[in-house]
Amino acid sequence: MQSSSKLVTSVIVTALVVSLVWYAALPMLVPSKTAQEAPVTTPEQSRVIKIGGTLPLSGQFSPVAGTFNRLYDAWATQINERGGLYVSEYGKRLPVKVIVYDDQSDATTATRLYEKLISEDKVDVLIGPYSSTLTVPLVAVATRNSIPLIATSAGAPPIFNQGSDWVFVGIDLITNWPKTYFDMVKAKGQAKTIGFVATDEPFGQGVLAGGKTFAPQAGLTITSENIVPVGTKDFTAAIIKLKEANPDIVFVAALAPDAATFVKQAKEQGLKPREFHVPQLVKGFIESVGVDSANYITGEWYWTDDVLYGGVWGKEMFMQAMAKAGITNVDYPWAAVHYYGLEIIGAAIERVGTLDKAQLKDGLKNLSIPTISGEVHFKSFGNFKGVGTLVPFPVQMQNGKVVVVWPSETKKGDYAYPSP
Amino acid sequence: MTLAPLLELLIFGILLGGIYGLSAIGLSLIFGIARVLNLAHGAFAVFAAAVSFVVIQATGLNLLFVAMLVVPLFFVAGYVYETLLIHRMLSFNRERRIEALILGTLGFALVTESIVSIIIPRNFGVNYQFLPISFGEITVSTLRLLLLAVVAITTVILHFIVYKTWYGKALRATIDDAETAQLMGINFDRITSITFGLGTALSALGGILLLLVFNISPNMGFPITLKVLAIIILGGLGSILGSLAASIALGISETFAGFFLDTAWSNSISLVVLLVVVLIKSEGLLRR
Repeated sequence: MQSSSKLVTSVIVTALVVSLVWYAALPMLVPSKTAQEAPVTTPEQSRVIKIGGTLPLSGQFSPVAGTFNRLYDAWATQINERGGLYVSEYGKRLPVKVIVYDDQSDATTATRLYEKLISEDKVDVLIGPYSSTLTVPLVAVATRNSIPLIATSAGAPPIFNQGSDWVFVGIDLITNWPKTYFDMVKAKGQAKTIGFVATDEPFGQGVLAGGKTFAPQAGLTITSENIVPVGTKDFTAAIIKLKEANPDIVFVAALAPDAATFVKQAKEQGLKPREFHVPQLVKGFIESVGVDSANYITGEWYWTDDVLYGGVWGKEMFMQAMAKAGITNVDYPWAAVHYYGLEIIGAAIERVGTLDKAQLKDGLKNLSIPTISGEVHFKSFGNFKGVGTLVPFPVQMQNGKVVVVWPSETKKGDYAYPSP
Repeated sequence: MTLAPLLELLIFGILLGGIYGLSAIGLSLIFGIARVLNLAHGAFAVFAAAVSFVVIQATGLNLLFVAMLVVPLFFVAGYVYETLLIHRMLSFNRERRIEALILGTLGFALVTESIVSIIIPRNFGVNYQFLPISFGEITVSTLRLLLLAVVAITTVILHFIVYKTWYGKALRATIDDAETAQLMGINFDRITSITFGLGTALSALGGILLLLVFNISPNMGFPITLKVLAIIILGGLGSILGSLAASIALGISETFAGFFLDTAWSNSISLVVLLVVVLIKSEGLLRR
């Protein structure tokens, strides 16, 4: 009896040991189906290209750029449907992911979120926010963290005269923004005097500086110059000064919200120049002043579907991305400028062939990239570094529609001066 | 320089002051009766403007009609605000009361501002095309003249309420001497609540009128509060005509400072006025 129970015990123990050994050795002896289907991966091989940035999804700039997150998403989907961006360092295409946070149109919030994108989200490259005001403090953030920042709607000198090697933009300095407008005014040859109103922030001051350079070259005499604080609610004093100076053109060097307040009050108070010019003739501005009041005001745009450039992936791809995002160029003409940022990032990664931040930065300095508005390369002069080459062209609101009026090869209507 | 721009500055200053006037009278009445510095006063103006803007966008109704709907709503809001929040804080002991009122009204203002930011996350305004009127070389905004007319009519109605009704007598008695007024049978709590309602409704009307001439930003409430605070200090607490006169004086100061100094000065002139008056005559220049 005792020996039989010993036998039973021995059999059970042996069975257990054999079972344990069997199950322990099984994965080594016979590859499992799961293991066959999922090859062993390393973090590098499952790499995703992370692009990070902020947009004004709320706040004062949201009517101008608050929908561009949808454009970024549409672009990422298009690129991923193609298999991603080819990175020679990895020998294959890698998918892209764009991380966007809401900066609430606020520089402090934007700066905090870019720090988060770098430290927590570990993005490979930064795409800039809307406006120079929000971009200026990010130069130090990108430089300190040694990460490329591809700016978008931001061309103010204080961004690029910091001499950072890490910041690039597709557009030219905003001091060159009004050049084509004054070329048109000069060609027309009728206006003789101009008065400026400019806000005391980087965009307004940059455009004002450009205006003061190019206006005399177009044969205009500057009769009034008014600097006002950004966010000014009552422009009465500046308007009365302009009435006194009585210039042919009133040039409002300000972002859309301030420009809208000024024009609304100028019309209400009887300021009647032969033309109002606002650099940002965008949906938010037109809605604020009313379509009738906006009629015959001139401005600038960077892109229309009349331009002939194909860009990095073709003009059609941009137009499809816009359609997928539910954005029209008429409503959001700055979308193209943000798309340049995606083109520059995509082209740089594919041509330099790496996600190494320092190598990307060095590669960008020497690249020439075909965007949907023409070839871009990055200029360096004096303390300035990373400045792009794209300039906008003049448009005018005519009978409720924004029409390209210059240059002759692109224009869809004639420049109406003086305003009817 | 010709005389025309100076006259235009003067006229536009008066018109600008008139726009500030309604909010200032509202805060003056509230401060006069309850001695409460309601830091949410400007926030109510912006909130009323936002509500009106949303209604106009949704329905296409005329601003004047919308104002007739929204202003009574804000009377109720002010009444409830006093009953539920301010009244409770007024019952605290003196030390806690001041802290609670500052933090409570400021907190309420910030919450209101956040709500407006969520509802309309941008600057907003409405457009009505009125051609300006010219008198020789002087051109004046028809829109601002109409607004001044609204302010004048409202002030006359308010003057009638304060000097010709039982509520007005009770209000004035309470402002003069709250304890004696209570001994005479005036219900202090009820008068205070009604005055908060009235003051808030006036602030709301002021905010709605601002929609016509400014593009309003959601965070504009606190600057409005600071401006009307300067006005009521200048005009004397609880004085309707004093507040209106001080509003116009401030409007003129702002336009002249903007013209002769810099537009930046027109934004801060109210604070300079506030400081000077407090230093020279702390009870206000025009106190009854």
